[in-house]
Amino acid sequence: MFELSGSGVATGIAIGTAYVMDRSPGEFQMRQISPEQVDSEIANLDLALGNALKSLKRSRDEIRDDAPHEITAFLDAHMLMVDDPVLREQTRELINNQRLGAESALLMHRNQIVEVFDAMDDEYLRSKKYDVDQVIQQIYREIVNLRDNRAGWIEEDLEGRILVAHDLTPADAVLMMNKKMIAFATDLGSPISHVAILARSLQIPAVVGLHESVRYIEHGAAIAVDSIDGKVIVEPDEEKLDWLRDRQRRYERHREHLLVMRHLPPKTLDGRNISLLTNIELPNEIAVAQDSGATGVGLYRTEYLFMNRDAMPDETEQYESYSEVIRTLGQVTIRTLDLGADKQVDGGREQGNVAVNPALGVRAVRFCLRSPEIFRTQLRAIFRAAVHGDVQCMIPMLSSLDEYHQVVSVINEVKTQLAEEKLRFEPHVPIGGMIEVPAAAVTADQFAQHLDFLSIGTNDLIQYTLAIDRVDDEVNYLYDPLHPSVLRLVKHTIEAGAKHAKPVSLCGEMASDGRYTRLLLGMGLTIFSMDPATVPEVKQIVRNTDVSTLAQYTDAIFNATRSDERIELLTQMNDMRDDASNVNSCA
Amino acid sequence: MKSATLVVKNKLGLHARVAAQIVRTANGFESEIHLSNDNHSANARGIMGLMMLAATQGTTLNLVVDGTDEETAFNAMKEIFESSFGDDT
Repeated sequence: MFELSGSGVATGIAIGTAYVMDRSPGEFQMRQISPEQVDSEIANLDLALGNALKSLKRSRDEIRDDAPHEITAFLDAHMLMVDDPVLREQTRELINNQRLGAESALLMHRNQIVEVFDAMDDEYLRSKKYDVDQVIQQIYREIVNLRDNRAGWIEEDLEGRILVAHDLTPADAVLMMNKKMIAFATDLGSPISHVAILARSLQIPAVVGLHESVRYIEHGAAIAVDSIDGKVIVEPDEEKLDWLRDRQRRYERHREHLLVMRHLPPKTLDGRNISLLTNIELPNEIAVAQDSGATGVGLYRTEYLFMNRDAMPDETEQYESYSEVIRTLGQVTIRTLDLGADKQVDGGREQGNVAVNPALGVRAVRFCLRSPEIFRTQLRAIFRAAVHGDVQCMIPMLSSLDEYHQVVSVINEVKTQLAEEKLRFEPHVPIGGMIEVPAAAVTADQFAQHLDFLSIGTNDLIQYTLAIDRVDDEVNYLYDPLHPSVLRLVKHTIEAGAKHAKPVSLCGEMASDGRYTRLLLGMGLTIFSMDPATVPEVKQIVRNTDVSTLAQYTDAIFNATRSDERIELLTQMNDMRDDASNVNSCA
Repeated sequence: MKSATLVVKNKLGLHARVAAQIVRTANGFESEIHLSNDNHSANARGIMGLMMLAATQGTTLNLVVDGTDEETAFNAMKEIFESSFGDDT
């Protein structure tokens, strides 16, 4: 028995058998071929490239759309790499001129590429070698799979196994989820890496940053992944196994307890009623949202309907999709299209005309106002579907009230049209806006005066306020939800809503993260909209909190000038009267 | 055929996301588009070759565009370089 230490990036403990995915080329013999084999090796290369591209595309399609945008960006870059015409051409030349088998030619070409990267002076550009290498290893596996006439782990039954790998691509993670594997452990990765974020959204135990797991863990070994302590225990002895099982039982009881919470009201100890809503996008999330114990949907993202397809969905298709969600979940806030930036409509991707900085370009309401046909069609579908329940319409990325007034005039036209056509629709749908651009947050009092409700989108608000591109690893470390500027903007928005008696919700990741629940309650937030999976946990915290005692902590956090001080204060605030709301208490 | 010397202006240089942007731009045209420095020449449709140029901030690259729509392609390439690929703003 031995243990490896890394960072636990999700929750829980899994005990099972290791499936070690070793991708290093290792001891490799260059395979020489005869001239007659050249054509079939080239055909194999083409087939492998096609398969690799297909599997990346599939991952991109299968990925939950509430997964972080970073993963989509990674996949997009990886797809371009697989599709690189130069890579294809040079590997073919090596097959042809050096008489090498396809996989050998690819690895030889890989070594040439890696050599160039290794010689780079710039550390950042040099580090991109790992991206290139990941992609080439993927193509390599495809070729080997073809040659050995087996589809590798794609075909194997892996249910209940634990994946051990040097690194995990987003594509692997999606596949792993579909294979019902129960946990994973990787050599690379940190708590903020894309794989970690994905593990959290999959809700499976994971430990990353183990450095040497692939080397030390044998295929088929009995292992346990302890995501709470960030440890992987290899071949645990009986005593350790008992301890692990006990800990696992406690953890699962804790989870079950949270699920029981589902039916309890989200009321604070001092009797305040808090609204817990969910964010949904994919059709299969409807059921999860229904089970979560949330009372409605605070953010229904409509982009899913528009992505991964060539043509726009017509009014009937949209009407039917929206109606289904509304009929099932009752209270729904539908957000109009938030396309552009990292989310592009496939049919609308204009080649050769890519915005240089999409996050600041034509996206969301800007895109809708410039594409009146698309916008009108969606609004018609929303207003017609609204007869089936309690519906609100939310406009993303407003930066000025002018945009809101333009939206209102489009809405009025649409209503007139619908009335003239004698179609059934709900004329009194509240119109609200996302507060996610700092300009809107600073002037939230004006927005609160005119709009029917506000919803704070912290993900973009933080990105825009702190001037950091979340897709850029180099500046990721600056992403700080506790930054005083962010807290002030959020508080200002909440207060603006209170002043004008307009509901204010928060639908960014901060609402899903239990660490911020008390702070947000202390700031006066009463409506939280989050990932369905996190509702029980947040509800538990809400029910364990006396809002009237929070002021001293919120004030202190607001006044703290150092980030470590704020984190320390937040921890103190969360530990106060904490009965069973964190995992450590049951460890 | 048109050619020019372009300067990589963004802080992080020609990394994967910027290279992806060049590829997408190049794929919008018929013309052959190449970028080169003293050591390497890269087809603008190949993301790996572009990354292998190791072009840091301030590096100059030679742009060569050849084909039926070279005028617009040339301007489009110049434009994304001029705007620092929108990478810094």
